[in-house]
Amino acid sequence: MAEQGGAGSTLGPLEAEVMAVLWRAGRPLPVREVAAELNAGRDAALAYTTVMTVMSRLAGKGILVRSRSGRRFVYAPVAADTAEIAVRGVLAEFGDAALARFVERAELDPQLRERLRRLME
Amino acid sequence: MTRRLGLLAATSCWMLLLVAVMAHAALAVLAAAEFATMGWPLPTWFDTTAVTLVLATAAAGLTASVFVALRAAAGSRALRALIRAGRRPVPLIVHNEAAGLGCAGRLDAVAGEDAFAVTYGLFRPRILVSTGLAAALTRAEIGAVLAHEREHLRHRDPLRLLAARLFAAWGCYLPAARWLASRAALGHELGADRAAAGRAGRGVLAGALLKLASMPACPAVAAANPEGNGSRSLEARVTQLEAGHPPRQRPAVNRLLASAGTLSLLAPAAMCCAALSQFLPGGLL
Repeated sequence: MAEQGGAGSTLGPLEAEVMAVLWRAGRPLPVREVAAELNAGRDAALAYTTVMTVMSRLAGKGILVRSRSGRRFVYAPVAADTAEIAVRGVLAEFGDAALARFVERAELDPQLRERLRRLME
Repeated sequence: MTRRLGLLAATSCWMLLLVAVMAHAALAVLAAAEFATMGWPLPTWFDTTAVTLVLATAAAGLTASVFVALRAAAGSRALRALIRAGRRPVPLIVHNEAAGLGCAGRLDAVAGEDAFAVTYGLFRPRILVSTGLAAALTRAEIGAVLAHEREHLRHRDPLRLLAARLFAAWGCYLPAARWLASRAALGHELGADRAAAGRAGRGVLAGALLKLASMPACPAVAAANPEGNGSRSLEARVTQLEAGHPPRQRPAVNRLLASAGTLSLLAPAAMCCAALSQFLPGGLL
């Protein structure tokens, strides 16, 4: 169950609302459905482009992952709650300052991947 | 015997670096006093250039070092606050492996499907894992990861990493400074890998590396780490696993030569600065 608050200061107010909609849904959603959900309880409806911009920004930050579903894009949360988002944010921002990580994430070179597989045998 | 010699050499290097930084800082204070007493410019262009060089390099180093220290302090505070907010019980499988290694009491877990393990904390280091680690790895691989992190705990590697970065920041005008700090960091990782491979086996460690390194790089992580040392470091670690000993690393000759050139300019400047102190009230030297 997604939690809100706690480390929620990592997200802006509208970003937090978008994340809440996606966490409640429990499945990837397109922009149109998220916008409809956000506008359900609103007097002044948010424009589709506003919601799309916010979701694109969240995808750029690595908080949402975008994938194609038929002819449209859908978005899904990468993290399960705001605490996880915040920890990932801190690791990303300050990670090289005074942390010893097990391994840096890297797009593995295919040869390196094969060398690791051979070591496992 | 070899290990003791290595430890002695490493300790000597740290002490030498510390003495060099303190000497540079002392000379910078002298330089400032000389400008304050004798005015700018000094009697000869050589004196002016020498004293300016000492002061400018120290100012650049101090600024860079303060930036690194503040960033580390801010990151540490933020991480601890977030661990308090996102803390979860350590998954049983992870706890049991940690207990076998004697580090269960210094282990924290935070919510996250994203699998990671880090060692944090300068003076009382601890291991932080995500709850996703238990889902991503086998028991043996978890043991290998924790054995690796335990080595970082034992050697207080977060503190050593920060010290290396501070020294590199102070020497920011030396092209080899950052390279040396990177080599020191890689040395810590290779040492931790040797300990983990000795305990869990290199195949198991390779499996953990393959799984955790393979996950797509988060765009925010890539943006925060423009140096992109991840691939180079992993290459060296894999080479060590294959060969059974640390890989030979070529020295960055150009950077070392450039740094030697810079130091050859600084040395006479420092001596001139020291010699000028005789004109200060009280004649320090």
